Amino acid sequence: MKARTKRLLMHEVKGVAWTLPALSFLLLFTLYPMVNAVITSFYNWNLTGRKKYIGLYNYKKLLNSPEIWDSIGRTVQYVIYILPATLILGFVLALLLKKASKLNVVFRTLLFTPRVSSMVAISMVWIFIYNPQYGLLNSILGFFGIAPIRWLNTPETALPSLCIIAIWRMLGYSAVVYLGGIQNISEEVLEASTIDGANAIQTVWHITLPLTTPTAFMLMILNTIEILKMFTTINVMTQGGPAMSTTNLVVMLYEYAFRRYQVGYASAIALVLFILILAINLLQMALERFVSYDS
Amino acid sequence: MKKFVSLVLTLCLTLSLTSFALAEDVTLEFWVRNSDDFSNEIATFEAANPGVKIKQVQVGANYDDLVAKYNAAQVAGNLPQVALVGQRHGIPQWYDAGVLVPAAEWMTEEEQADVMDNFWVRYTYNGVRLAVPFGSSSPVLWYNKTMLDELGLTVPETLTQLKEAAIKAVKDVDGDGATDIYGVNFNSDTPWYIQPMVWCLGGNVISEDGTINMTSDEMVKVFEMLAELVSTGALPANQHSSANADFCNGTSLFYISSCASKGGLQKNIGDKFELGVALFPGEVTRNVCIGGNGLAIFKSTPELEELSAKFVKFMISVEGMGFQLTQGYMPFTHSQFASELIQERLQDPMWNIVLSQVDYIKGQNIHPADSTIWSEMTNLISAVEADPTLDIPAALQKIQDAVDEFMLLY
Repeated sequence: MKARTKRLLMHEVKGVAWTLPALSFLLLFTLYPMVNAVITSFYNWNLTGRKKYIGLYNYKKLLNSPEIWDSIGRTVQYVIYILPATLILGFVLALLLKKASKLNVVFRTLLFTPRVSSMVAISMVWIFIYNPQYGLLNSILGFFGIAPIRWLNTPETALPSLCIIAIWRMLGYSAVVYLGGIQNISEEVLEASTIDGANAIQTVWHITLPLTTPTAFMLMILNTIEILKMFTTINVMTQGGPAMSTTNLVVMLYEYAFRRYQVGYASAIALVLFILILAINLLQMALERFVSYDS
Repeated sequence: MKKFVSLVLTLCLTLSLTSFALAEDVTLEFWVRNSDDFSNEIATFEAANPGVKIKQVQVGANYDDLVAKYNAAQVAGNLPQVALVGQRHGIPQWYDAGVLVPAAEWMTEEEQADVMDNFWVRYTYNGVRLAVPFGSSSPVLWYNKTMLDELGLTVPETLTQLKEAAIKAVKDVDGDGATDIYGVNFNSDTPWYIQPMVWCLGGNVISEDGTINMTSDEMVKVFEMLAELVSTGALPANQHSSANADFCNGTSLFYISSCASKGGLQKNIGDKFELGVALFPGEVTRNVCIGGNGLAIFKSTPELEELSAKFVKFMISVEGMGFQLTQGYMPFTHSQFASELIQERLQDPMWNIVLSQVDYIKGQNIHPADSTIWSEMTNLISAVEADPTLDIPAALQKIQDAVDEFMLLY
């Protein structure tokens, strides 16, 4: 072996060695469970007994079940309701909070608090807020003469009610991330637009908005994944009801894995969820051509 | 000489270490829910059994959590020696996986005979008693006596009377078009209340040979009654998670829940109204199921299993049941019934009703499909409450198909 080749090889080995700690964690806690889930989806297994190989049975059952299509539909519905709200309102909030003042620091902290609070605790508070008979929200509506709404108790209102909580929780995070993007815009560009006679709205529309598209793009991907993985709020507040109207793929997966102990079937659901997330992300990546990386 | 001294010293050291090891306490792990605390009972047991330590580990919020933890521990190979197990599901699977020690292997016939037969049934699978009853409860009818008297109604004895009384109680107090007072509501473990209703109408869900029948006329009738209660406004649709709080706030005349709710209800109601309790309504007959938990022993070593058995027997003795009985759970052995504590309680009218329900307890064998039945029933109850016009026989047939398929693959 030539000395140069040997040196290059040693260089590569060193590189791999440096990544080994992180790589081993990735292999053990991400890749291995993923591969194992795919293998398990071909078995009937209740966690305690012996695994029984059943071939494609779980997939045949899954594709013939209206439940999976309903759950996929609802999972997408969550994305459609929550994502635009977090992206648009997050941007608006960031514009309102961009001025450096002590009050804005307080507001930023307040807005970010739901993001770092326990989801179970948040859900318990919202259960009280949404209570149809003595909840805070209906009391406020009653003050304005509006009849009480059964927020979490009817299939028509339960999903939008959960979406409101998700939007409220994700809004502060989106605003703070947008704020970072807005603060990265060069002062010179903004000054130039003012000299050219652009008003505040024109500056936002023609300067701030296009230059924060990389932030919006990143938020779109991160928020979408978070919405697709939504679980705690649903599990604590509605357990997927009423009449399964709030059941998304993750809740369905949990139901089959840990309430019915049909782990093979749940693994098949996990694969469907993986494909759905992949498909949506690929679709979103196609939108990258509209992103302006010029600052 | 030096060598001899070293040898003697080494020998002494080895012997002392061995004796130290022999004198070391034997520890049994006992897994319970987060809300359970048996520290006092454990202390009493440890005092009477020097050298045995019980490590109480709170592993989950509810029975579902416990099942998940036991399943994970089984896969990992670190099951506890003694386990608090919910009767709802999981036990047959552990037995089939070969990790449970049947009760007959660690209890004498005489000891088994002390436990009442109708309680044993719920912990029996394929004729084998797998766990011993422990925190046992049954559903009862709680009512707002103050409201009942104001309405001039009597305590319902049958399901039909309950339905009629519940419909009469519906009221829009503030005239905003929304119901403020409902007739009846169930606690969130809704399927638990459907089963005794089916029995009371003369039907059965799981027969003695393990056959599951989800499509019986009696089952259809129960769901039709549920649909009627919702469509008449007597039952708030899909409002079970706050049923307990709603009842305590005086917005429901009847509340169907576990007898173990007694302490909590009395505390939360306080002086708001007078609380009443009645037997679970009958119809053609009167039968109630049992709920709660039992104690099981997982396989370990013969020595640890023997100590586990000793501990479990202590826990179900009158002395060991202190905590459970103060929580409102029911006595389930002849010895417990004969105890001073229970005899005293029989003097209290409310306790008297709860305890008299023991006569109507009908056990139903645990079944591997219990979790599937439970999940499917929960979904159907929610669906019927959301749409009372739902085709109930067709929906029940779907449940039957799901259960049959589960058993086919089991």
